[in-house]
Amino acid sequence: MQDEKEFIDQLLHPHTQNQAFEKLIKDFQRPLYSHIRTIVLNHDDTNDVLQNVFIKVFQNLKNFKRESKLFSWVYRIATNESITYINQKARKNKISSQEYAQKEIDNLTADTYFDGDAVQIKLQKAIALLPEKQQLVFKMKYFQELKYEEISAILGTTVGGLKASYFHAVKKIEDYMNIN
Amino acid sequence: MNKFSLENHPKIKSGFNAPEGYFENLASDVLEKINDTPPKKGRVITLKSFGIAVAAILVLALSIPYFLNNDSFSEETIDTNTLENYLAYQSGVSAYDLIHLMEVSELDAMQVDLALEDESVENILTNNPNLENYLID
Repeated sequence: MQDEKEFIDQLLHPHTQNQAFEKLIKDFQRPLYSHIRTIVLNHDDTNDVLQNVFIKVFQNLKNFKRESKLFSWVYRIATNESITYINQKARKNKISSQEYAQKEIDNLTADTYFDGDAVQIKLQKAIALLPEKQQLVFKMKYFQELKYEEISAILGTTVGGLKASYFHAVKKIEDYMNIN
Repeated sequence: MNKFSLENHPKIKSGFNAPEGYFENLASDVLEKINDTPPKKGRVITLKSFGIAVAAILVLALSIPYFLNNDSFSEETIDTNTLENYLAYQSGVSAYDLIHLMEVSELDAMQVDLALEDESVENILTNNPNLENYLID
């Protein structure tokens, strides 16, 4: 895409870099915030991860291989940073990342920046019980409404594999919602 | 009670919100952080010293074959005359030391020379009667 090529050139050129990077932040901040927030769950951690993601993007722009889209590359960094972040937090608390997520969900009712009801909390609990890959696929498809092709480019999984993961995730979530 | 189905259920939103005004300041906060972050000095130094170490190891490793194959250090290339002169005038090596280091065949070859010398000694002795005084002594 010509526009993207030009934009990346601007990001790499010292004279246009700051302005172009500000545009990148403005374009990506809201969808990336939602994406990271669904993984790390509370606002403060999301803010830390999101800022780190932008700093990493800035520092690694020169290594960006243009064979993938800027969108997929930025999302891949955000996904990896978020997963690493919650795994580190869980390790610090000497619990599994699944237990950590359950704890964070329990705290959501008191979270000023969460306005969900009982069903939304229940859905979060159901998601947190899924294997990591299924969680990611479900969150990206259901909450972020990304296309399978986009998720495939971010996670490096085939569209067929993603569809299967999503199908299994939905099945397990529905089972959980019916039982509990 | 109807079975819960994600497809039939109205879309459930994540319920996550960001604080008001959060996105207005994010770009400037991030840019400030980027500009405040000094280029990772410690890391640069580490990489530099690491690079120097790698370079030194490479130079040493690459020079091993050179030293192994270089004949300038082997004794064959030292000129025979130089070696003889050294042994004769510079070293503390005595004739007895040399005899110990020599092969029997080499010593035999030298004995021929000595036999010839005996003959000339005899000639000198017979032609020089004064020497008898020394022999008596």
